[in-house]
Amino acid sequence: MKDIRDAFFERLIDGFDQSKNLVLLSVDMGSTVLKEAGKTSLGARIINVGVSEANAVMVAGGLAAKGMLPVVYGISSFLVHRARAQLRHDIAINRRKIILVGSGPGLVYAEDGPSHHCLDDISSVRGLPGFRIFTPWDGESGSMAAEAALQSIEPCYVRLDKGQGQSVLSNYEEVATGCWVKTLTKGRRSDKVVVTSTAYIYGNELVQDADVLRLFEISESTCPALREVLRGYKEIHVADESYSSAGVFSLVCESMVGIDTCVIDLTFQSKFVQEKWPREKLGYLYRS
Amino acid sequence: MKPSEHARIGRIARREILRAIHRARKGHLGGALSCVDAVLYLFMAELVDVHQGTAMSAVRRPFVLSKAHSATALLAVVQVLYPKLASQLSSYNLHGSLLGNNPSERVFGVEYHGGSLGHGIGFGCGLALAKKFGADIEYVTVMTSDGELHEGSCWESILFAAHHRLNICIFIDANGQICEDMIDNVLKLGSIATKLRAFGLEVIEIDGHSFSDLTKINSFLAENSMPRAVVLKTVKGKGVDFMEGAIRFHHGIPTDEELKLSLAQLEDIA
Repeated sequence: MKDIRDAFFERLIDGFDQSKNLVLLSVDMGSTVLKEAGKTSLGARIINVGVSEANAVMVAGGLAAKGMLPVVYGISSFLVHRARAQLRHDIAINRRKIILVGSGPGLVYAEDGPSHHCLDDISSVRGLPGFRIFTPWDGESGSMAAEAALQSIEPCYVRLDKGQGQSVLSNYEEVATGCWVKTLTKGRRSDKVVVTSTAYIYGNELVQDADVLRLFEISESTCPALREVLRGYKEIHVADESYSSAGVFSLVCESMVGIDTCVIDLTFQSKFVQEKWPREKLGYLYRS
Repeated sequence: MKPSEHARIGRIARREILRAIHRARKGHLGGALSCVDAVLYLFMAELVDVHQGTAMSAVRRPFVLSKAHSATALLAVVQVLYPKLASQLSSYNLHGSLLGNNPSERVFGVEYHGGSLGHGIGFGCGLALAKKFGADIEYVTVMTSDGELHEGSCWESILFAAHHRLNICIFIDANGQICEDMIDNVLKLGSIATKLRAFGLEVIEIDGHSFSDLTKINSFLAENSMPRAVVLKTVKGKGVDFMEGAIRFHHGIPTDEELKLSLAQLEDIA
């Protein structure tokens, strides 16, 4: 099984071969795949712009205005928050196509402290009209996210977790746009479902007696898609590395308006945990 | 282009700016009057290309007005020079108009919509960088204000321009004021030229209202491909004596009487 990031960048680099308009602006980020690509003829189109997320997005806006397809790669927490104004003014207002790639969504960088806990990037980017958010959970969906971002006519934000992920794409089926479901019993829905966008699900006990719905895409079409999929379940558990407010829990609630179903919030409370803990422990602390 | 012609059209543009803002009861007057001479010069001398009003920029020498709240200056210049193609300032800031305070890129002449200060230089860097990937770009011009240089994002972009040796020229409309006060009373910039040179740009400083000084732009733009800047020493509210240097005319609206007095000062000289 491939690492999510490696798989994503491998597919993206293929895109560089196919389209001369692709330019990658890295906010001083490393990646084995990118380093290797940098040594080839593609290197001229991979630029380390230095520690400047805001400038990276502004430059991306200008590149997009001239017909290029810029990819901006940085750490999720800083890319989305520091460059939020630029994403709004220079990208979203005129719906310029860029691919924003964030490393470390959720609690990927758990042990680096709350500055790196990116629990509000979904809520922030959801607020930008036109943006599509992709959240792969394994190598195969990482590659799929690259493909979807390349093909999209809208600006995209891809959230890259790390490692190989906990469950593979092949166990899932896309039942509605961006909604992939793994049923407990093949071919039959359970009464309970766990909804998540996080590659990592806490405590496998949560999913032992439930279907799993993974949000591969969050965009303007997600609410109706979720509604179609979730309406048949009696119990919906939302377990995600995002704050309750405006994150994935909020998204599920929005999609279920008017439908009488039990929706249980297992996402994060609105706070910052200062102590250093590994990811799983930190997740429990944010939930409690 | 003769100095007298530049001056004459400058007076026409100023009259259009004043009428548009007075009519709409909304607009940023002082900064438009301070930069209009330079904007007019760039377009009259054909040193920049006019944006055609479509999303994808097709021009080779784009002009990015980063201090977009001074858009009446750009719109007035474009209206006077391209009367058959430009949108009319008569609809400026009226309901339903694309010619708002920070007009849309769908408007003829508006390369970059602006509105949030501190973005235009970075956007211009992106346009200039596209040349390295085959885009048909000769050079990029960006006009900012001195107050806009308070935004840190400007300096990130200037560093970037210098490092990548982009063919970009930044014009700074240095009228010494922001909305509420003189810049020196709020957050001193000191010598803008010195700072820009320290960041790696070539810089000239000129009087932004003097035709003979403005002619220095020609060679500085066309015979130079390195990142550079022109610091325009200007006066906010230039052209109307009671508006010059007056803080209240950053976005104050002239009364009917003030409009009449202003227009009288800007009448064509026989």
